[in-house]
Amino acid sequence: MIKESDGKIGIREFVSIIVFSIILKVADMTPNLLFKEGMTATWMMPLIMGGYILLPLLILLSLLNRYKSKGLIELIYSITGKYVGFIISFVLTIISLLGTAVNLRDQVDILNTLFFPKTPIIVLLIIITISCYLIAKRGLEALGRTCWLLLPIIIASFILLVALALGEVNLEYIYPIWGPGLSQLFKSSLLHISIFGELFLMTTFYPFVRDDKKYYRGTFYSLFIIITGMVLSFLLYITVFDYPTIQKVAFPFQSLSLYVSIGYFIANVENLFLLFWFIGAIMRFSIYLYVTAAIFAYTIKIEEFELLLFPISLVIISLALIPENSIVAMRIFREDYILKFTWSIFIFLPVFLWVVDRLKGRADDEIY
Amino acid sequence: MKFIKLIIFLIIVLFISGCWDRSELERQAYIVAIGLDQGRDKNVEVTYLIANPQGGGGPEVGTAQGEPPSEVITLEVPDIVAGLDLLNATVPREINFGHISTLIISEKFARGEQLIYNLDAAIRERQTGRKTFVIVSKEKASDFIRGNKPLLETRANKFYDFMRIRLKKIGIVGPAKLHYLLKRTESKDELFLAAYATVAKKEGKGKKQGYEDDYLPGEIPKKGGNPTQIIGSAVFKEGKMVGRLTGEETRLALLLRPHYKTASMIFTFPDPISKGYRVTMRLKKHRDSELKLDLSEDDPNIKTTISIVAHILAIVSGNNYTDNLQKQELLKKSIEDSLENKIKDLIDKTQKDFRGEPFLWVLEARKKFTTFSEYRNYNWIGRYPYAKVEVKVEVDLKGFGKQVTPTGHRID
Amino acid sequence: MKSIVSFFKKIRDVNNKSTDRRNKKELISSKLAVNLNRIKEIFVYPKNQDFKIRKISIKSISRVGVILYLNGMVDSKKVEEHIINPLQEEPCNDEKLTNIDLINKVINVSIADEIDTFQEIKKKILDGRTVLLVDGSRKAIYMDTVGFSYRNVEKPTAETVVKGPKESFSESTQVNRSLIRKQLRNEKLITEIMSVGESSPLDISIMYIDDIASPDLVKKIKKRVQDIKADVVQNIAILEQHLEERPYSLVPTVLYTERPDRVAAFLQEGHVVLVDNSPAALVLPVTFWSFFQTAEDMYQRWAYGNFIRLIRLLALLTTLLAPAAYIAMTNFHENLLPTDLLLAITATRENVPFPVIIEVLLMEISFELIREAGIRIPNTIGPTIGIVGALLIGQAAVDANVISPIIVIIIALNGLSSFAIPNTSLNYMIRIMKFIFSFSAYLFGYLGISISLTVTLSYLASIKSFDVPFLSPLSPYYPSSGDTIIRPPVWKQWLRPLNIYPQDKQRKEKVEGDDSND
Repeated sequence: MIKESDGKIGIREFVSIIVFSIILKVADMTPNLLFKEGMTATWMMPLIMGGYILLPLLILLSLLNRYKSKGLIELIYSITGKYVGFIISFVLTIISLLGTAVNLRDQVDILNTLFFPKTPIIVLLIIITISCYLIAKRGLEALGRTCWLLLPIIIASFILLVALALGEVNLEYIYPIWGPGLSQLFKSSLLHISIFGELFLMTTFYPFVRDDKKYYRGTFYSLFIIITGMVLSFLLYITVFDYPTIQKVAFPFQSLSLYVSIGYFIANVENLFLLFWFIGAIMRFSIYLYVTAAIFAYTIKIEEFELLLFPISLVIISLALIPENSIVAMRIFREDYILKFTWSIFIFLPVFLWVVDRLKGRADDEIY
Repeated sequence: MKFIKLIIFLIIVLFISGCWDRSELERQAYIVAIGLDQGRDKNVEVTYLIANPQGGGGPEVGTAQGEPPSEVITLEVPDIVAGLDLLNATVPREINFGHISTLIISEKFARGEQLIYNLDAAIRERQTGRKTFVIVSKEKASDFIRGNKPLLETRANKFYDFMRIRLKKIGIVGPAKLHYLLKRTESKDELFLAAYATVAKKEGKGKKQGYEDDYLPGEIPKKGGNPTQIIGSAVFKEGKMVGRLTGEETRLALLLRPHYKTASMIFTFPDPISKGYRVTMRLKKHRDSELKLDLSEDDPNIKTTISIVAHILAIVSGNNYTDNLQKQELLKKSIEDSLENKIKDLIDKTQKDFRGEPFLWVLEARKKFTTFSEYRNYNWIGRYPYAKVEVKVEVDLKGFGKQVTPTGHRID
Repeated sequence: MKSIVSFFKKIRDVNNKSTDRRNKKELISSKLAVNLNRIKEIFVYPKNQDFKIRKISIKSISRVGVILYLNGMVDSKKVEEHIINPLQEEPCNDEKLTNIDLINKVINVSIADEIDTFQEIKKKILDGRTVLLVDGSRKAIYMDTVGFSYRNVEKPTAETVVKGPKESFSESTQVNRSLIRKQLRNEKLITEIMSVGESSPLDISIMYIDDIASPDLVKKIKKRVQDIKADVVQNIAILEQHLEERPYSLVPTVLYTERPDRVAAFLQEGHVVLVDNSPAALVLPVTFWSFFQTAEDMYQRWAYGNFIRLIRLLALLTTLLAPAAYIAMTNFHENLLPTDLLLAITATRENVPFPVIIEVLLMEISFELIREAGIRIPNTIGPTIGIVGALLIGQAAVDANVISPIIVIIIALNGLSSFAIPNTSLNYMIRIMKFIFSFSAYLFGYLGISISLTVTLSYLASIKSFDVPFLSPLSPYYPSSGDTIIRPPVWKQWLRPLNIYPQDKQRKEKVEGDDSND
């Protein structure tokens, strides 16, 4: 049962990696994006999204289970063949790369706006990318272990924020309960489903998880933690800021930490939460960097993908420098290009793979 | 090897890195309060209250004899933030906005259109917080800041900080955070109560009879001490000041808020038996009030019941409201009536003068709608002035202090 | 890098060749004179005054023999009474007595055996044994007469406890092993002896419990010890540096402890222990927790033990982060300070000409200086004077407006906390890291701190000590008794930490206890 470290990660590390890669979206501009659509009912959107992705995720997991010891990209290749497989994998690489770059830019913009207004954006980008590179270079095992170590700290800091904000919470702000109306809520949840996209991309590491039965459980544990965390933080944002206001607040997490205080003596605690938030953010981008490198390596079939980390870091830095400002980064790149485009991929790709697999499988059955 | 390289790299970075966002403490000037006045044209007159670190109150090493605790500078600029660099013409330090705890707006400026855009400029700045305490001064804000001479607190920021905390507890001004002002301006359905203040020019000349809290600033019959008086509220509707409430009205408005809870408000009520005398009570509100809204008709129907716990503090008339149960009942009834009447007047005032409510009843109204657009279409603030409001006050007499019958009370 | 590696490889090859030559076995001849000459050559006799050769006629077999030993290494009384006297006194007149019979019948020493090469003779003599050469015999006899002087068992100096055993290792393998065996009376406790170093070999006892320690681990450690290519390994402190996997890393991967009771505890968890004539033992593999914990945590009751652990955790974090946090707060995040404190610090800083980083470095370095000087002062009250001196310097510096008073508080707190870190290696690691953190805070405030913290953690999470992840069993998770930052009550610690891969996973059957009384 207990083996010496064999390059594989256990369920705990795996869950923490997934949680870190997604949950920290509550601390960037994603809530702003969602509150525009979900109004007072935004806190329900993670639940609805969770419902949406359940089916495609199950399909993907059952496929992975059939093709043992294959990750997402290898699975795509072996189901759809060399050419189609390459196209799909390449698209996934691009999505992952762009997602990393835009999200990174998002974080850097928050830093730049709130904490380091005079530091050039490129310096912040380089510093963060270097540290992410250093962490990612230590490998999946180290990533998993560090995430597992840091998860309690991040959760504790979140609980601290909730505790500090509790005095400002007014639960009545969540009314009218359905926000923009149910149908609108379901529609916009579907369009923003790629917020959970990392769940799909993480299946690249399916063969690296020690026990594939545990992979199922791990995925659902992490989904549960992520949804709980998101629902709670959106509830917190809406109940402190109220609806029309929250939409105007560019960085809800940071604004919230600016708004709360410890007792009457420490009025501004936003810098304290900068510490925790950024620990999380660095882990998140290290994971993104690693996943992107891994997907790309599998796409072009390179064994040693640690070598790819450095060039990919450079590409990410240059991509992240393209948008002019954070609103451009968020509204145009993230919303129009990435989110609007990718939701369909995450829904339809597993279904497509399953159908192809079925057809091929039936054909195979006929042969034998 | 790697480690040594890393160290060398670090040291190099250390020396080549510019100072960007780093700045030493003593190179910065900390603004603790800001005043806003109407300037010429579209400009504003911004008054910056800069704390002087060496102006007393610090440790012995860091106290310079004879330095004042603060420096007040007024500039005329397009907005609050625009003055940041101009201020350096006089102040040799980088201006830091992170410790602003109070925002003072002159009444004239508050009644103008421009205020809300200036506040937007302020909140866009990275350091200014939404928890800033908002005070509206009767006179110019610059005069208020200059005229405020706290005697107990040496540091410039202390007076405002302590004042805010204390006033919030006794309720003669509302919880006047900048966040609420912005939020209620944006939601359009609520009124905001800012603290209302003045530096009284003449001492001791007040309204003829205000009793314990029924004053506007400047009306308190008081002699000596700091000339500043902060009592009552300035009422804001859609980012503009539309009226004012006395200390007592503010308290009642707060009591009408369904979830407002308070530990202590000292009220006096006319003695129901001996005319001219008053009974002093401490009122507490521990429970949420009951609030029932009926929005089915064109005009909303509002029913609310407030339950209050009262403790007798002083009976100057000497009537025995403690031992005598009938008199107790009488007193209770009279308190309830008195409160209900005052509340009725206040509600009339909000419906007729302000055409909006600061009681947060809209939050209850929001529960009646399923979607946000339905709620917006209902137009609460448009209908509130025509609402039928029924208010009921329930008083529980809970305590009598440490005396039972009043000393020297009249024998019944 | 590659060229450096190949350079080292070459050196290693050269070394290998020379050792091959030296290791060639040279057998003893049957002629005493020949043997004696060879030995005289080896030990540079008569130049070497400490080397003693004593000729005796062995009455029992009526032959001539020679007793060889190094003066000062042997107990001369023992040699006289138990070797020389019996050999000379007992006339037996049986000429057919062999060496074995000599050992069996004549010599009264507990340990004695035959050897047949000059290498062995040399080694035995160097180890403090007495060697008997008999004329006409191709074999020599060695007898255990070790008698160097060493300290008595004393109180530990670096790892002191209030509650618990107060013995520490001494400069004798025998004593050290007996101290361990006293704590751990286990028939499966094994001692294997290996020697390290070529010109003056050092005997190292490798101890482990046979049915607990993982055989792979033992094999790996033995191999590592064998692979050490060093001329001289003076003692265990040097051995530690030969054994570790990352010589340039700040992170220690071998535990150096002077407490037999700790060693016993580690043995029971499946660790391997190396002991020699040093006042300490090496424990490997180790995890971060071994450095962080002390023996006392377990001896104190559950609540007290955890209390002191949390205090130490706080001390560790303070040492690491206090200067950095102060620099970050005063250079970047002044909003985090309460307004009054901010104004007070600013007021005192207005008279100081230096930036905060210089202030901090100035005081940190002088504190480290005083600390180092305190250890070197040949006086027991040295450290106390040092600390007092630091504070005095602080006060004087404040009065002279060189630093602000709050720096004195920060540095004093920082220094005090660093004394609470139990292990010397960990202590140095944290104290050096403290400077790195201060620099990163100086560059980017809390952002810098969070970056260095995360990178450091990921580094710690990735390194291994003899295949055991450094932060296990916490991360990666392994089943264990949960004895990491806090510890469960003693009766609940029924499981061995599985990150050491013990063969026997349980200490005892799981106790179904009732928690309701806690």
